[in-house]
Amino acid sequence: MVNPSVVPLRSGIFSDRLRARLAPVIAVVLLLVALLLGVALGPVGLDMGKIARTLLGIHGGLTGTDRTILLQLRLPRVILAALVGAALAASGSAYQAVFRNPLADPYLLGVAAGAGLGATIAFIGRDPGVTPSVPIFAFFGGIVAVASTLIIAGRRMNDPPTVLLAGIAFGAFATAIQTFLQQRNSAVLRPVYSWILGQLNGAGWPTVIDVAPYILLSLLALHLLSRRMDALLLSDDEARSLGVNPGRLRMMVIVIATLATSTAVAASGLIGFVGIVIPHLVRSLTHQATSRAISTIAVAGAAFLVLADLGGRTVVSPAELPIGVITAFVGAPFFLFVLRTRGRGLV
Amino acid sequence: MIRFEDLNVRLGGHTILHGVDLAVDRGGWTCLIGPNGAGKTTVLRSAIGGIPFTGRIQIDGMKIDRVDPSRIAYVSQRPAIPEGMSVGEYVRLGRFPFGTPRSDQRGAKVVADLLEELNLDGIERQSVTSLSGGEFQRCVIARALTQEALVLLLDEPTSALDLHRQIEVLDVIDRRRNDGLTVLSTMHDITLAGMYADKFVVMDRGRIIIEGPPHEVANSVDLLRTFGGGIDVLKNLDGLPVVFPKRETPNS
Amino acid sequence: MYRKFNKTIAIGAALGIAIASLALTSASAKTARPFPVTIKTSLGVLTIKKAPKAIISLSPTATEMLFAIGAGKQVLAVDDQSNYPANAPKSKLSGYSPNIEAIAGMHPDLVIDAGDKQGAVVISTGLGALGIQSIEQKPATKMSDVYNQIINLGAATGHSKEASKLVISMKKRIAVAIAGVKNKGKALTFFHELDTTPYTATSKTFIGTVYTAFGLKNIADAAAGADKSGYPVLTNEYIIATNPDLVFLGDAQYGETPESFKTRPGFSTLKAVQNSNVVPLPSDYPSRWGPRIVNFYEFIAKVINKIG
Repeated sequence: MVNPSVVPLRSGIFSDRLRARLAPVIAVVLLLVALLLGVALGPVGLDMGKIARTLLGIHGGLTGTDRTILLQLRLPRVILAALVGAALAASGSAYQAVFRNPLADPYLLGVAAGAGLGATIAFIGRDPGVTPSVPIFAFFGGIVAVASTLIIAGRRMNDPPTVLLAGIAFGAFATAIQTFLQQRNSAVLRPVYSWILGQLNGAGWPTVIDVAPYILLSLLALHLLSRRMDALLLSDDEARSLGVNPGRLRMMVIVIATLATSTAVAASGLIGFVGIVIPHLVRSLTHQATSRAISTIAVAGAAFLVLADLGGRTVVSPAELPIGVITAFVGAPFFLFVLRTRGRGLV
Repeated sequence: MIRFEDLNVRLGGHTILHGVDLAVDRGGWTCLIGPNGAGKTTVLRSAIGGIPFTGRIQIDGMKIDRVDPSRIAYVSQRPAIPEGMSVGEYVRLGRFPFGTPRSDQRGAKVVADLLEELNLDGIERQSVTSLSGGEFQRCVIARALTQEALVLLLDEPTSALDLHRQIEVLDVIDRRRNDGLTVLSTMHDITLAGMYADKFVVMDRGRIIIEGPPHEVANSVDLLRTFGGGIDVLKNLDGLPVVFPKRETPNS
Repeated sequence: MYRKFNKTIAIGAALGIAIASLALTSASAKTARPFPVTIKTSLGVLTIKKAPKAIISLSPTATEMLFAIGAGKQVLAVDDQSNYPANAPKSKLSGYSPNIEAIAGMHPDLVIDAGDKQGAVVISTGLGALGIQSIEQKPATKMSDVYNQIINLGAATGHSKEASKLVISMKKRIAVAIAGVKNKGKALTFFHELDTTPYTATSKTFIGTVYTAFGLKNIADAAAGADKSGYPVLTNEYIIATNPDLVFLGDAQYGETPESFKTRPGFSTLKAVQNSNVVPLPSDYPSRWGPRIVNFYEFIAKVINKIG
């Protein structure tokens, strides 16, 4: 009865139900620890006790530049990292469900290329007097990219492989335009390159306030849809017999995930690997293949990015490493590990 | 229970179904038989909303567009194999229409019973992608049955099962007819179908050729003609028809 | 006796003529005939047979140098980024991604470029195959590079005297500027911003050396290890913590102003902001190493004196 060549993996002290219950708790604890480390550490050493007092608003906290650094720089930066990490991880998980492909990432439908093109245009147009905002252009670039991809896919927009190919086609096109523009405006090469690698250096409260509503709303929507996303794991006809409209659900999830991703990209540039690594990691640890893990995935993504950002500003302090470098460093080897274990029928 | 009236389906400029009329009574088991491309799968898919059609489809007297699709369970000819799911999780998907696990109080028992009936309880925690074809097909049927639907649509449900398992699985389905389950299936194995179905419907090129009790249809000239004369029909010890393909040997 | 006397006169006359003609040729070599001239370039030794009359400059810095030493009339065309002096014959040629055919089509007799090309294309080989001479003048890393480039161009164009005069005048003006601040520069720290990332330049870079000449302390030097060529990215935290006395906006030419600088999170607390010591740099200063670099020295001297 049992296929002898495959060892069932699910034994051990932690039963599946226990894992499913513990996972969100562990993720939240991890996030809190990450946030704490994030505000405590950095190129400038700050006393933990004084940090606590400043945050609690009681007497004896930080003063002067130290206070400015904590409240105006580190706190918003760390919160932004958490929001962006959550958005990317949850969107990645959503795309993986919609496209039934464990290697799907949030940038799949051309969002990365579109946002990059938008940012390049914004950097070029920076004449004295007219300063188009990079985040806004990046955001619209991402949205336009996905819309174009769906239009290119045309009537077959509900066929995942077709949409994927359309996304690749659009991405190539947008990248070509971007490269052309960069050739003609060599002065923007460095800022665009740095933006593409992702960073949260210039983040402040205004950015957080701009970004938070979109991301939080998207996360809530994805959480509410998560149960229905399970049905997308089956073929369309099978999903229909479960009472789900697969085409409509797919479109809704794509729209929400794109909104979250574009907002994240607008705030922080392109940060890779979070959307693939975190969903896999959480699913393999909690043994929850279904989309119900999406909230845990979001929290884990937040914790991961806060820690990665911390790395970015401490490893070569007082210089900054682009956060995309850190996530790739951690993500790539992990990715290889996932690819290797997939073939063995392990979850 | 399920009634198709003047069902027409056109896809990509071709007419797949020409005015099909079909009815299955409550608790009945109708099997569609016929050559490839006859439109059998299309009939099933139109009931689940996967294909645009003209005509009428009714379930328990209600028009199909007002019926909750979860009252129809569907076993696809080519079911999707999800990554990263265990057998238990996969079968439990069938309880989806009943809400969250907390609100679906009967769900755990229904799933457990079915896993046992179909001999899947030993591999409950195994990953679905690591199963053999036969094991997975049993999972698909288990999932469909946990749905406790009114109508069960089966598209080639035994194609990957060995001789013993075929009977095992079909028996499980057959038992539920006593609780009112209505079954509409397509099967290539006419002999096997004849052991369970109470009505055969022969289709060819989008039309119904003949319908009736299995032993009548199996022995009919229309069936022979539909398969181009390439079949032989005998009777087994229980009087049920045995239909098998005929091979032209060089010496005959 | 007669024969001996004739021999002496003959030898003496021959010697005299030889010496005289030698003196004459060397004199004319120095004044009336500067060509042919041999100059050393980064690609080797180049012999220019006669004064070039159709020079193409693909480097805005080289353009400035050419016009400053009086060779402007010999310039046929300059690249699309050469905006100084205003009367330089600007063309559509790109110094960043040069097209050899387009350059050759204008029939130059000398091409000067800055070697800072995308794709590291060495156009000298391509041009050489077409019989066109070229000089590569890479961006300077110290002032002596600047002077050498000016002298080289002077020799190549037949304006050595003007070139020497220019170099002497530049050295004098720079010395005056530095002396003029006395020791005030040594007490000040600064931050030079290349763009809003923020990329900065350490003391290793050319522009860094200009600041160092005044004794100014560059806060970017603590991050010198992060980038080999001297252009690291700083954390905003660090800038706030070190609280530099002066901020130079090298990206003013791209739209950055003291007002937009102030709006960055936490920057309103910087003393440079509060004392209005955020200084936008005029365009081209941060990216050229030509004769106008002297203006940059004088500019910095003025800024330092204003504070001190």
